[in-house]
Amino acid sequence: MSDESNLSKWIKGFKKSELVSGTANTKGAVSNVYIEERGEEMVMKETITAIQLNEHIGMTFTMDFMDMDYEMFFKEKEGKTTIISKSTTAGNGIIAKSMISFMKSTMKAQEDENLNNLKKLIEENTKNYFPEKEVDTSTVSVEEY
Amino acid sequence: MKYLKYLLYIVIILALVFFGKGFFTPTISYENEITVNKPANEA
Repeated sequence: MSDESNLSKWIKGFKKSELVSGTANTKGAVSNVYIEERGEEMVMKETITAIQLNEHIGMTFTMDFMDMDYEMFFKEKEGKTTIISKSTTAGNGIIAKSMISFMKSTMKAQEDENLNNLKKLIEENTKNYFPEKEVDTSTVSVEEY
Repeated sequence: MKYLKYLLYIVIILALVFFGKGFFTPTISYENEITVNKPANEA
């Protein structure tokens, strides 16, 4: 999920992410995220507000038009993982607030599409992110007693 | 002129609905869920 090289494969329109301050994938990290929407590039500021490996990640996204609080929860049971995302969006300004209030179903459908892409990506992934370290035994000498 | 008046009323009503919805629901919240056939450390 946090593999940046795969973000464009599951987040629609994702172009790139640039770390602005802090350490990547840690609480307080701020990044500029570039998204392409109908041929237009948008930049939003992403701040990680909470992170617990394999359990929870919380983020805020801010841009001119709207702000979003976004959380993802991971619950593992019998080798399967349920991923729950919670989004709260508020428009900035009276017109944006009104437009956002009509966009709930569109935004939920977009998130559904993104999560289904993520599911497909995870299930088809063959890359091992946690390889076991190989111990070089060729230079080890064994003393005989 | 009469039709213009009705048209103006319709525009005013639409504007009230548009801005009224934004006023009474300034934020939207939604939840999505998927289940992946992999453990959490591979997700």
